[in-house]
Amino acid sequence: MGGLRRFVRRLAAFFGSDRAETELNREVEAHRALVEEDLVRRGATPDAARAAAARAFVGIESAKDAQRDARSFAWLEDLRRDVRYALHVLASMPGFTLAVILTLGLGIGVASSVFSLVRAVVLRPLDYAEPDRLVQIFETGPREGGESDWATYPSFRDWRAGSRDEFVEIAAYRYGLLALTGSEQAESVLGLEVSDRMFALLGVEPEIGRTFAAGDDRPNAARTVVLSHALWQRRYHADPAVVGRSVSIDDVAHTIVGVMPATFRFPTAVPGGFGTAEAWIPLRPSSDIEDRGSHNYWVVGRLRRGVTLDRARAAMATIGVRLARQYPDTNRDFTVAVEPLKEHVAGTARPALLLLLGTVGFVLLLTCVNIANLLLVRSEARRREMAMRQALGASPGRLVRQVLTESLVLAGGGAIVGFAVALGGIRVLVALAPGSIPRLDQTTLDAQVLAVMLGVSLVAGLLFGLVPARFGSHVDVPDALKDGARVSGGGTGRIRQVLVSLQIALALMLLVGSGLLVKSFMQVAGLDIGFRAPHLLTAMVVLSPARYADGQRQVRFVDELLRRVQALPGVTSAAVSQTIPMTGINDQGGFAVEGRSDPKEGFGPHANRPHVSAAYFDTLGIRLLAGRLFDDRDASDGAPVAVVSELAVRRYWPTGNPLGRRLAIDWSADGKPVWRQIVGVVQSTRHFGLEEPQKAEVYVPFAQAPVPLLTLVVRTTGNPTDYVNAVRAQVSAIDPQQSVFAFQSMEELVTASGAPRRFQTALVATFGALALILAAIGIYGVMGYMVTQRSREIGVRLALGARPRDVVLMVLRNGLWLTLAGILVGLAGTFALSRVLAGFLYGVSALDPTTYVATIGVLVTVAIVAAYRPSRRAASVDPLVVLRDG
Amino acid sequence: MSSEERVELLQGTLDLIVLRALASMGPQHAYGLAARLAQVADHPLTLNQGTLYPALVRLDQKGWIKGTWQKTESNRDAKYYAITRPGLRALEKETERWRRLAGLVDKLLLNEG
Repeated sequence: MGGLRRFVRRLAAFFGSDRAETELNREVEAHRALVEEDLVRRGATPDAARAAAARAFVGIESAKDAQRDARSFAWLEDLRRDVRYALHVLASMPGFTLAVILTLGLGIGVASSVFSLVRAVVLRPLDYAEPDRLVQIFETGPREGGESDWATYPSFRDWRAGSRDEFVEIAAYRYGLLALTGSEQAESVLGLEVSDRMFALLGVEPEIGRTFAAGDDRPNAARTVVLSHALWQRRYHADPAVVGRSVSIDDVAHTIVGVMPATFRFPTAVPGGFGTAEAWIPLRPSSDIEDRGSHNYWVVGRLRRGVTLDRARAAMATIGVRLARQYPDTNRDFTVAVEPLKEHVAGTARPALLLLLGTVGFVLLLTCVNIANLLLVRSEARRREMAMRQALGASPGRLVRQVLTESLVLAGGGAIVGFAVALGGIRVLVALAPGSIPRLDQTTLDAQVLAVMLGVSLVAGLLFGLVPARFGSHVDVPDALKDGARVSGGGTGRIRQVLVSLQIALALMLLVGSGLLVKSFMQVAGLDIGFRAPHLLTAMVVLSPARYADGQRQVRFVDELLRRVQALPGVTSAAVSQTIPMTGINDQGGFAVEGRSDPKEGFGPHANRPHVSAAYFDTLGIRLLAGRLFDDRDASDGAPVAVVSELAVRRYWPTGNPLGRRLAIDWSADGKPVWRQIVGVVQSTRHFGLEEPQKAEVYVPFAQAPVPLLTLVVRTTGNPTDYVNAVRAQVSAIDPQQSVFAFQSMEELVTASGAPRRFQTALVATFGALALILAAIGIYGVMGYMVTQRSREIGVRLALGARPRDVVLMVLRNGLWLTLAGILVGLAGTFALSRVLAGFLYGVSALDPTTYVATIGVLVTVAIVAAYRPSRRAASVDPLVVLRDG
Repeated sequence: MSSEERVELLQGTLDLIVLRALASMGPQHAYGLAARLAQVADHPLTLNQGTLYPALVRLDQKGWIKGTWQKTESNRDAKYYAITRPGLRALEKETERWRRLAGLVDKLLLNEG
């Protein structure tokens, strides 16, 4: 009786409980007994009857075994069946299936990769303890420099002392190029001078050793240094015994006290694309540390738990007002700003990435609209099939489930393609993106993005499934069967037209946006940077303050270096300046114009003040406009002179000839200006970057104002980076302890300066092209469908004497109306967004008429092309065939 | 149409037939129902004794029939199923639906044939 028991068990498992199983057992046993009894009554022997009765069940059992097994998971079986059927259906229309999966995959993939990028750069929490409590604090005021996140050291001290209730800790830092010497190779690294509590404030632990302790930044404290993981690996080969060893930094012995973990970055992003800080030392005393006019420091703070940003802002504002009253000369016009560190880090990359995110949102929307359209067309075509299945007994719920399953299978396929596209997309984005975007290297397709992506596919699948399913399940069976697929779809036809218009509207917005960005890009590319970038090699030298303490030694080093480099074969000329264009390094400050009365030093004329060797202008290719350039006369013992830029002249000597007039960029110990005679006027350069506002420039001879921070510029005849080793050898030949670093060609620097815009323009333009293609597919699909639906009507028209040309025009007109409706909606949307867009443009208005006209022209052309083939098909309808078969 | 569709149809139909049989014959045990079906069906496979049980449990769960243990004429225990009031209503509705669809299928088959 094993077969019977198994049967009962399975049946009970299918329907539920143990009690049900017992009950069923009893019932089936009774049933079996009745069969047996009946057989006996009909004359069978008791034995034969018992065997036959058992067989009645066993037979069923073996025949239906497989099916019953699966039936205990009825819903799973149903799902399997639905999925198999869906795959079968989808495989029978490969064109449609491929279109949907690719469109969805592309949309999801592109959106996911951009979202991953935005997440890594803008949204992801910083890698410090409780990063939400970290803020950047700085002074904002009328500095012409533009950089607004600086603070003075005295302000930092006053802020820290006055805000104990709001902040656990406030710390200051500034950058320094640290020359490392000692038993290892001489090298210069980007370092950070930090106040003693900086690491404690960030809440990070070292990998080995310790960080700084309270009081480590006192002037008489022992000199200590904390190394980055990368520097430790590179310079000390990850030797754990490095803690306690001594390293010479700027010729002063420092004790290595700790090494930070590989993931540690502070600051998270270094301005000017200098990479990351590789060593941290306590703040060293310097001349500006007591100067309330020197905004040379950065300040971060950690809020006390429960203290809101607003409260911290109010507290700092109060201190700011007090300082302004106490030190009106320096602090009068400054207010204190408190900004979440995360936002501060994302900085200028933030709006650009949000623009990208918005653009990609449009693309995703467009993708969804396209797929909804495709599915609607399908559901129309399947009305007959649905009606047939309903007639054969499938319930409406069953049909909805079938359609939903198909949509989910499509969504699943889209998700897989999307995943692959996203992985590739992130790689492409990271490779293309400008290096100045902070935290970019940490972009990964993480679990959260993946979850969002799957969610989008599922929601898309359900949504797109439901609409067609709704139409599918409410089929009026007799009507659909009687008339087959020949009757127009009624309700869904209108929806599809609206969807196509919406696509065109979205495409218009994306195209106008990318058109304006491309135009801006061309404007920027056509800018005169004020010098000739090709064939220029640049490198940095930081002269050791111990070995090159005084100006005369610095001048001697530079003279010797330039003499040697100029003698190299293939070198046309060489020069130095403490600041060259496009590097992010500048030396801005106030200067005095003789005859002008300015309230105070630093608040009058303002300029970038490169200290340059004589050949600087010729080496960079900066043109002389009037007077003369620097030459041998302008040595350290010569009469003090200066060369000014055209912009400086326009701004500060608007009337009359500046040649022979005097200016001062420094003041003697007793406060008297050191007057310099202006001997020449040169072309202005875009020193601060391609799109940054230009500033006045005042050049002074390096020999008359030597500095230890140098950038070497070499004009070569060939590929500038081929000269790196030769230049390095010349520096070592003069002084083996002296490092030269940061070799870059000027073209690289200019390219890097244009990189953010190039990145943004390339992506938005790509998305715009994608939108155009999607919209074209949409128009083509809807027009084609319309022609099929109306072929009978068209046939009648042709039979009644309409010319094929009329039919073609009728279809084209229809397509154009949809396009025009879309264009109107799109224009409204673009105008609404023009204010946002304007922030990303350069030298072109957000309402630039040529861009609008060109975009509309492109869209109309594409619409006509997309509608043309369907219209030809309409015109070639054979009236006889249509009327006979109809 | 794939073969699975026929199974679905058969199950629905079997439910309808059981309801119909119980409505016209009064309470029956499973064997009695099976015997009745054997009488009306052309196809011997429908007589599988076990086929009835999924339908009975399903109808019982829907509340359309109710089973009680009673004695048979030969004084055996057997579970007798009777159609309930909701069952009668359902029978009416399902019959109507079936007639409508059957008519359509007929028409369809005639048209296509």
